[in-house]
Amino acid sequence: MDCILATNGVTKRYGNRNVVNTVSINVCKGDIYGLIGKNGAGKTTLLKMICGHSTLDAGEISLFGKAGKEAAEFLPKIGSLIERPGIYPAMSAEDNLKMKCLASGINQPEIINQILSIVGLGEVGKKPVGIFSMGMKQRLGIAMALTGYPELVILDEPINGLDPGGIAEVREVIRSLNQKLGITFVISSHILEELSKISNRYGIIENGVLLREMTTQEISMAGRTRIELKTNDIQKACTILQSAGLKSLNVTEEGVIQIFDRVIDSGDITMTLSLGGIKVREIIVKTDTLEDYFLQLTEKSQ
Amino acid sequence: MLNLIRMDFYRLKHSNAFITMLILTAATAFLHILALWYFSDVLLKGLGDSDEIIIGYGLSSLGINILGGKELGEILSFCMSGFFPIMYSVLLTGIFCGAEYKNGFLKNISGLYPSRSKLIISKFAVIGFQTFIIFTVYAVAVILFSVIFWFGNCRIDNFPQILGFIFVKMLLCFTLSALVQFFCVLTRGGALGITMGMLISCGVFGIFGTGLNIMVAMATRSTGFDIFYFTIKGMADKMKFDAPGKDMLWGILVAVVYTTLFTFFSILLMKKKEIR
Repeated sequence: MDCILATNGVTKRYGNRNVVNTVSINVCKGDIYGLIGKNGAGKTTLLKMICGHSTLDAGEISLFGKAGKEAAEFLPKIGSLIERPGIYPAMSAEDNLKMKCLASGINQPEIINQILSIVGLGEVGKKPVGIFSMGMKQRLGIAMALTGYPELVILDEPINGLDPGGIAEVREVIRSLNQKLGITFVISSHILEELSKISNRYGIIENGVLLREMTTQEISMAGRTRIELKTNDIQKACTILQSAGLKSLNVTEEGVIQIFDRVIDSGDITMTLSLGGIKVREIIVKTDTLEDYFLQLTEKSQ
Repeated sequence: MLNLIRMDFYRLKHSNAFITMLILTAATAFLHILALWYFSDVLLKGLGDSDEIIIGYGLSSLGINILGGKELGEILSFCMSGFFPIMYSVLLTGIFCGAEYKNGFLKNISGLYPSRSKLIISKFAVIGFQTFIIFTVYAVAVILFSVIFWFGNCRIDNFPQILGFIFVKMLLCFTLSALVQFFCVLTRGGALGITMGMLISCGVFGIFGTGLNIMVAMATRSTGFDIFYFTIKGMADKMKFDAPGKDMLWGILVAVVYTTLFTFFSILLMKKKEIR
């Protein structure tokens, strides 16, 4: 697939601190790329550099296959929402979008209502943006990024301030624009559950360093599968399981026994414990989520 | 660039600040003329045998032609000798340019213009337009209210001279607006730009210029040097209706030089600074 965004050893320094340290990511056409990291990990700074809002101290950014000064010519093909939405509070949502259209040279008045409807602001009329709720402002920010349907859309924490219904709507908007129009998205978020529902590729960033870049399939393959069970006697259950040859056992603070040995079947465990006089109250097979994987990775890096 | 200009004009058209400034400008012109008309009898008596009376601490002088409401050029020159309408114009520039940074709208459009210089240069179209409109409204209002108050007594001796005077004054005001824009870029907001613009247009920094003039005069034992010939506000104050042609040309030169400098530094800052 065509790589439409690539950063090569991108570094940004504030004082003596490298907030982004030799980060290299690759985003292909049609990707929904999730940039994962804790607060202050360097996600926003990296996105700012990609959008041309901030300069690089080292490294290079390639856009649509062009690097250096040539890449800057492709910045108009990027729509972005970085940090808070940039909107005029005294103007209406329509006027704000009209301004973006004028600056972009878009002469299709119908596109404004179209985009407002897409983000769920079709009915706001001429209300000044200043009286919008945080979620509505966020939607307008997303609408600004989508104006002109750019080929690459960069959204920094786009679901901040949205209610659960709004989160689902935004997720669907992103998914549908990606599938119908082939728009590529780079989305940063620390709400990993949401990101995992739409992204197909991830970049995990911690303290300015890119720890790993991988696909959804790679994450699910790397994710550990375990059996979790609750019994009436934890200690005795563990002794029985160990004597049955299970080595990777862990007991959580909540009294849940975790079994990481892959060879064993959950039915065999229930039977073994029953024979030993242990009552199994609950048994489930669990696979690591994106969040689990992220936490393992960041813990290792520390 | 044309797209950016269109965008800025669209915002100006929907700006409450612009309408407010225009109303304030017309109201100020009205109050100026009203005060002149109201006190003209008293002041005319105060003239005695003299042709003009100095008011304030030499800030301005009122001549027989003004107090009698006779010569519109002189009335206009008098009404523009203070900080009106320059202050309104720079105030509007600060509000207009500062809003783009304060509200973060610049983030939405900076990517469209990677070189960023256009983001600065395009603003001059709207700054120039609003300066022109504010000066025009002020001048027209002054002339209109003069005609109303001194009905039948008014005349215009030299219309091209009036136009020339307003043009140079406007140009210097435009330069001050370029400085305000520079402060907006520097601070990513309008507060400092508005404050500096207002302080300069009110002549607050004139005290430093006067101090410098005195020091130079004491050091060189000559009064030939005048720093106000090299400052925007100084030249704006020197621009009178009957200012000599070389002063007018010097005023234009000062405006062009400073505007170029402020634009250059604004672009430089814009290119270097992070957009938030």
